[in-house]
Amino acid sequence: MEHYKSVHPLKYYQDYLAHDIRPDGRGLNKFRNVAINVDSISSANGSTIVRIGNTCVVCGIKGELGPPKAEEPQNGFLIINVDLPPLCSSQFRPGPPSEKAQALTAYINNIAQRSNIIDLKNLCIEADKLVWTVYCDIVCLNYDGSVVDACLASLIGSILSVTLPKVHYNAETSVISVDEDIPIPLTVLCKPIATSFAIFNDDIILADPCGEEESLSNGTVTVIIANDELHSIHKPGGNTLSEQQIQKCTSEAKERTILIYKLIQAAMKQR
Amino acid sequence: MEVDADAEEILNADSLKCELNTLSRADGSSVLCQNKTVMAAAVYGPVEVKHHKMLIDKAYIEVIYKPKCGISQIGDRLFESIIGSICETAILSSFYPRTAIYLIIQELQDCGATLACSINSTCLALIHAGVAMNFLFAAVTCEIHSDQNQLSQFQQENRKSEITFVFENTSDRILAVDSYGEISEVEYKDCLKKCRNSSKVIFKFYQDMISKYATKM
Amino acid sequence: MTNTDTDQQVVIPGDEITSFLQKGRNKIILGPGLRRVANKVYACNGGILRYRSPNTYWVDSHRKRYIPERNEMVIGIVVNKQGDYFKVDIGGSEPAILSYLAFEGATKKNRVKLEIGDLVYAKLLTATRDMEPELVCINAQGKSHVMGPLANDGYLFHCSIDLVRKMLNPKCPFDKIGDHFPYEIVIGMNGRIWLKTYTVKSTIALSKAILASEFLSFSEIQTMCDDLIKQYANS
Repeated sequence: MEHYKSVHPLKYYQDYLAHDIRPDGRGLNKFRNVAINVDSISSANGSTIVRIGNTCVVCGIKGELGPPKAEEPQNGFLIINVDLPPLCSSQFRPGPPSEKAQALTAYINNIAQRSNIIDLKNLCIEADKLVWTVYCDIVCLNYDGSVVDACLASLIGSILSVTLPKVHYNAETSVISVDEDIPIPLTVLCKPIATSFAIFNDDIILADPCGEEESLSNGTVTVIIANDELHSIHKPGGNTLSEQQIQKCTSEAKERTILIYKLIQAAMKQR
Repeated sequence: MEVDADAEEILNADSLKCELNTLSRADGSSVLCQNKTVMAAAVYGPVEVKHHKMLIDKAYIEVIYKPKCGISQIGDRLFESIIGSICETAILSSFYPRTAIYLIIQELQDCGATLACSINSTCLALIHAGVAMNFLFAAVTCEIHSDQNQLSQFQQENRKSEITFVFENTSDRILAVDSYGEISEVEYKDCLKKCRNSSKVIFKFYQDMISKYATKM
Repeated sequence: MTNTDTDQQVVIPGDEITSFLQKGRNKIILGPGLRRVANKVYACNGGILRYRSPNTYWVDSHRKRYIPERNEMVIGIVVNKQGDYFKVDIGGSEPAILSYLAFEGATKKNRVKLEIGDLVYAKLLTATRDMEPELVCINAQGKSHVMGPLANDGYLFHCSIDLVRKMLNPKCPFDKIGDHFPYEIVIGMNGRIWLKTYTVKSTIALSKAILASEFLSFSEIQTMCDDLIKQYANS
């Protein structure tokens, strides 16, 4: 059986899929188990570890004080970086960020910006003088498919858990005093959660694909839901899908988002 | 191909202008002006491939997106990955094993919907290069404004969200989609319908471009 | 369907053209730009669907990059010498090989003199997707025919593959110019044309005329050739 898998990986998968089951025992539209742990890194202002099956992602948030941009004196910064180190999969090599990591970073930054996860104005301490820069570093520890889902869930978990110290800015003397005793949580406006699907052949859609399924598939679809509304669909090429198939992905994603919300909330209580 | 009146809202045939064969050294090249956004695309291929990138069963496809000023950034990488996977599906890459096809897209003018315009200019450059393809593809961007008005191309401050659909010419199915911002189900369906109708305008435009130079052969 | 109908039928990639094909024939030949999937025929290049009786169909499309095809005559540039082979650039995705022995009268002792940068007019012996193409400068009888090294006093220029096809069309009026001023021309299917006349002026005039004819009809080319002959006679 192992030989068959290594010689004809695609056929091996198709034989399983023909019987509506996947090699790891899941049904076609079954998701893997998700585990979320909030505030596991004590040195960060906020952090979350998300596991989806074997995929494991850590997000840490750190706040830094600095001057704002002259064009937007009222706005702080939310800077998200996704790192796919060689540690997480053999497909990544050491050196500058891979194209995949850059594209993923760009995508998540776009989501954060366009879905208004937090209001950047809330990060302002003194207009034109001092604002918070919130650095969100997402590191993938194990790359086994649906990494966007894990990245976004860890980002939302961290942003919900983050607290920044109270800062006083004296406009006359330009003296900054930080009061660590008063932790202030961020106001989160929107909590987008991603759900990925893989397309096999023309008409088989696998929910929450693992790494192997992703590499053998003919394309992926990522649906991002927040507050029960669609916030993004990302299907970069691959096999074509019908309107109905995308609709189905969206409704499945909506159900899953509720589950992820519950998990994040439970994790927040436990910390 | 029939075109609904709806399509006119986003894109009409007059808003598309294109010139092929703009570069003498490239195997295929195009400059596409879609409303006011202008993109140039060049195709080199099939050409010799570096050994470590060689694929034995199909062509290696690389997309390079150049912004109009400055060095390319991570946002451009996202564009490259989207255009790259669209092309991998559209190009019959198994016809050209052990070769490389390079696609270079240069942004000339950005008035919104750069992704759609760059995808369409790529398609025109591929047609011009004579690269064998499964189907043609056309991208349309739709913006949803806070006041329910929908418009493509013109970047405005009050836009709530935007969605780009990529269609192919052999079926009604969706080849690619990329959206940002909140979209309700009704809005989504409305956008899909309008974009699909507009894509027919683009396919008609492709056909006209092909006939224009093909009849001279 | 008659021949004239197909003449201006423009197809785009993805078009299903099964209905254009002649019914009742159980064997048809699909040329470039067409492919069969299951029982249907699709176009994969944009251009004009052509038909030649009895049963051959293809799509005429624009192309600049050469894709080697077996038995085509090409002009190559020697880029390297390796053991018993020359590596020759024919404009495809990889250089072709040309054996030292694939020339008329060549033996192990009596090698043909070819340096890096020299031009050869050769025929593609093999050209498949999965292997490097191989050239020969002899025909099946071991004769050079018209193939072999090209003299260094000619002028080589590049053009698109569809212009080459047009030039090689028997209806192309360029032949007639030869009656008025002598020239030698070698046309490679890989979009390379080697031209030799007696004066630099006429070489430039003729090469410009050839390149200009890419988007002209045969009658327009005829007019252009007549002008050229007139100007040549006056000069």
